[in-house]
Amino acid sequence: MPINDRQSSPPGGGTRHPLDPSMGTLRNTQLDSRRDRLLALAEGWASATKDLSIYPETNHRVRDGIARFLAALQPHLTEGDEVELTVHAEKVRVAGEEVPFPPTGALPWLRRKLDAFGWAGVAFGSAVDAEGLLAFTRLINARRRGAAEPEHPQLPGIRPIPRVFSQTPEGWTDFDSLPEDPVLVEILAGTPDLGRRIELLQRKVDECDPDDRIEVTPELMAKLIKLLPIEELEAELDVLGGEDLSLLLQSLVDAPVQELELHGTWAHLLDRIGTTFFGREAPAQEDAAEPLSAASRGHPGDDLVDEDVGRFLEEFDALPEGEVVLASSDQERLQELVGTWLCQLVLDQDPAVQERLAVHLDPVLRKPDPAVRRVVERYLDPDLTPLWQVGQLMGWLRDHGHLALARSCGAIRWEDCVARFPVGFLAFLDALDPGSETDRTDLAKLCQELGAERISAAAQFLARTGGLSQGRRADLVLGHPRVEQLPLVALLLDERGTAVRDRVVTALRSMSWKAPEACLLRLLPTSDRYELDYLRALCLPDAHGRYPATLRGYVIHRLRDLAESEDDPAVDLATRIQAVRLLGRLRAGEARSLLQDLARKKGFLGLGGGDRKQLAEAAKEALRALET
Amino acid sequence: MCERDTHGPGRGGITELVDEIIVGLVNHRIYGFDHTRVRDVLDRLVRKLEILCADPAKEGVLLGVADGYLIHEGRPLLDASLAAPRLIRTMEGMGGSGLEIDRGAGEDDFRTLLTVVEEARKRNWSVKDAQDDLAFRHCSRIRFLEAATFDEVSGKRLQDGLGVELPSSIPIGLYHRVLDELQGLSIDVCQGNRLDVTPAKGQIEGILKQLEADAKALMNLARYESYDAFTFGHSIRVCFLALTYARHVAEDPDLRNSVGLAALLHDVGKSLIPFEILHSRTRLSVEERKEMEKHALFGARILMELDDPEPMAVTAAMGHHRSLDGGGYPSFVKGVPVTAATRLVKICDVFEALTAVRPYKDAMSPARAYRIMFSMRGHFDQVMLKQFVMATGLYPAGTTVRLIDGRVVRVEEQSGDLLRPVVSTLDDEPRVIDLSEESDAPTVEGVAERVEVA
Repeated sequence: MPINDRQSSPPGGGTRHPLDPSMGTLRNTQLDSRRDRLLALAEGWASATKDLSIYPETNHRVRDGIARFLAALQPHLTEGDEVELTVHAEKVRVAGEEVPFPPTGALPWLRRKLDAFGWAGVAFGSAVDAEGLLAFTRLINARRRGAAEPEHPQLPGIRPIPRVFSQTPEGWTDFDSLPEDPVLVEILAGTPDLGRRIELLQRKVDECDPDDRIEVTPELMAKLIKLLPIEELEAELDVLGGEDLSLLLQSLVDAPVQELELHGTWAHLLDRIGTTFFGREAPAQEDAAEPLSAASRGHPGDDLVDEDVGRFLEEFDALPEGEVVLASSDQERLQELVGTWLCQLVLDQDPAVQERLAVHLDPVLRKPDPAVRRVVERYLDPDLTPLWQVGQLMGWLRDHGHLALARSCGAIRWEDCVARFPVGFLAFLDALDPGSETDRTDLAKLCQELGAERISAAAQFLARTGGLSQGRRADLVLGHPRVEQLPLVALLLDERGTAVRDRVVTALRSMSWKAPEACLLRLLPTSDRYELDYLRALCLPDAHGRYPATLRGYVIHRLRDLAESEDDPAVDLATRIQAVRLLGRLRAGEARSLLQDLARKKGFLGLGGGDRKQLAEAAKEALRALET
Repeated sequence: MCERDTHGPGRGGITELVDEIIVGLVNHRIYGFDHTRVRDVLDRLVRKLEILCADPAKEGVLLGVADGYLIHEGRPLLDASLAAPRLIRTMEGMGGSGLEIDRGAGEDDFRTLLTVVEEARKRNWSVKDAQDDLAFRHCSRIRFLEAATFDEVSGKRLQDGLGVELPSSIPIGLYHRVLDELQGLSIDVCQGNRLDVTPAKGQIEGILKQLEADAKALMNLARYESYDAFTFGHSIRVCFLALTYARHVAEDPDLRNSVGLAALLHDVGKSLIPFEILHSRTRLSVEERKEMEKHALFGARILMELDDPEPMAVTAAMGHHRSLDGGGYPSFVKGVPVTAATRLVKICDVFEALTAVRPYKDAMSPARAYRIMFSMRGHFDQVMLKQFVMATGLYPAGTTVRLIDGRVVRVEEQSGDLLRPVVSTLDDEPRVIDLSEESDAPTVEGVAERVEVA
């Protein structure tokens, strides 16, 4: 499952510009890795394109969005002739690098638009300019499914990339060429090849009425089928005899939904397929849904209600009598207003909105009356409010000087977090100030109380609900790491891998280590020489602080490689000598044997005599240290 | 009698053509001609004209204009007229009497028409100026009609065009002014301009005055469930309904004004919802629905950015899909109250949506709409809903009803007895009768004619 390495975008987030420099500290720290920058670039393009579907071309959002995208594109263009930006099911590929993107935001929307053209994306060349991009964006927005083939645009610096599917690493076949004239269901029933089956399912979906078609990507179908026991699926195919493909699809949808109730993302995806594809009525049907009002969407049962006046009067009489005061109390109005602002704040990420809200909220929160405090408390309560919203609000309160209010609302007590961990943990992190010693101590206390095992067990939950890699959280984990929070460092490595290695090495080097297995930390010249497994293992000693023997073996081998490397200009004599001395700290037969060889001047064939002598001396010293 | 040209999916072709002209006029102001939305409109205009002229004998379409109404083939088009203030006022301002569109007019012709109408409005052109401009732009298939030539040109096709009976009981001027304000606000929202709702506040006072003077006339409009291209009509009718209720329960004029404004602007966020979603004729997908639901958030955002935001309007825009049981959208944390004003806007919003025509459905009767609302437990304030029914009535003001004694009368206002409202007779010397005051008075048996204006 791809790890969503950014804080999940909130629904209803409005029109965001991921490249907007005014996004502030949070945004800047998020852009601290190449992957984030690439994702932001892709999101910037998608947002600008989507904006044009809503706003006129003269609108500043459209113009600014395109200008920001072009500015962000420029540095990449200097690296090569073209920058290819393609959007796939759950990931975007930018300049050859794949980055997963969140299911919300503009990228899924852009992919659907591109799909309508059979394009995977665009190669941007150095000749691209605002007008050309605007024209291209206009073209993308103009096309609808089922519309006639568009004219192929000839715009400078913009080259559409056709969607061509290829074999994926997992062996699922994406499809560029479909069978010419298959008796679809027969082949479907007959083929044991899941890839082919998915291919055919996808094709069937593609053949639906364009207006009634839904987004079922090959990848999604692959995952759906992957979730089902193959034998059952085969049996189902036999039973159906290929008569009704929709029933088969329905069965694919039904089964996992029931099985995966606890897996929010899957449940959402499956629900989406179920409701949009199978629940969709033909456009011509009279009771087709109502897009304009929730109330008249055609609720189940509405058809059963007639205009019988007698029954109406009975039902009317049964309604309670009473008095309604249209002028609600000041307190009620204030609470509704503050609730509205807070709701806006957590749902709308547009920086301009956030700042506008500050104008309204600041005075109210400076001296909150009890009614306002009750609303804030509710929004900060992870039992009442989705965690990502709590985190969002926490971050805003801290950034706008209302941390004291948040604290007084009892939302970030580490003791409370212990009880409900991992629920609420990310919100807790979001509320902490990386620069505050008190906050860092709270984090350490929490980690100590939780223990490595409990933290490690929460890895999947934390990754799914936003992850630790969001800028501020990573700062907290890596800023001034304490031994108690090392399991979090391990989780961070799991989430981000090499993207976070430099920061992890720097953080670990800053710590005081007693374990000899950590001695490599001061020796290897560049961070990329550290294997991730080594760094991760260092963060997860057992309950007695011991590391597995394999880690010690790894360290010995690395030290030996370092001492004996012959053609590595980055390794000087001093480093070699230090590596040899460190071997003396590792109480293992392998280390002793190696040192004995070195002491007898075995090896080091590429070194001069003086160097070899010094190394042999170092090995003897190390041996003595080992003996004592 | 007005021509009812809007009944769900099978709406009249002429009204659809006018609708597209209106959409084109608004969208080209917002987006310019190069935008997809405007190009789509031009394409649809050509196709709709082709359909209207499917009969080989038909040479084109002639739209007359008089006293705030569009007239086609001797009959005023009420729904199209309600939705087309700018087109009507511009043509009337030119001193013209209509518009003639020949069979075969193409996208370029319609593009020119939109341009010239806008120019004529801005520059106060006469018919001759506008006609000259059309000619200058090589548009020969569309013509504005001089008042004097109207008779000559249209004599055969609009024989009673000049003498057509126009409905006098509808305050179409007021409706046009409110609609114009809403359209202006929507355009400003789309263009990112700073909003000014002061004129809209002024219109609320106008509506309240009209309610005091002749509630029946206004409720006539509330029953004209024309589906307008930008959902402005919905907002106006929700405003009428909310003010009708507010008049019954609140005496404070400021409170009434605030409630009216909140109701009028409750859907302002829809200005930022993609057109394809807003006017989808099919069931929305989950993603589309989520996009649609953002209108509440957008509405609050738009109103919050005003220099002097009206709190009630902000909270109603955000909260008019919230339910009392904590459901609805956007998702508020439980425990945040829903004030009476927001609850009222929700009731009016749902009632209007149920009783209005949509492209995919006909209007429901008030009785059926109420029954559906009664069944939506947890959504509404039940006490307020009961009061709303009392204020709006089972047979809203303006409805022509048949009494059980066989008489046909028109409802003037509500009396407190849902089956015995205050009615007026339809004879030459109408008498107003409060049926609830007579113990043996007949009750209403049913609607005599669902749609009638004059």
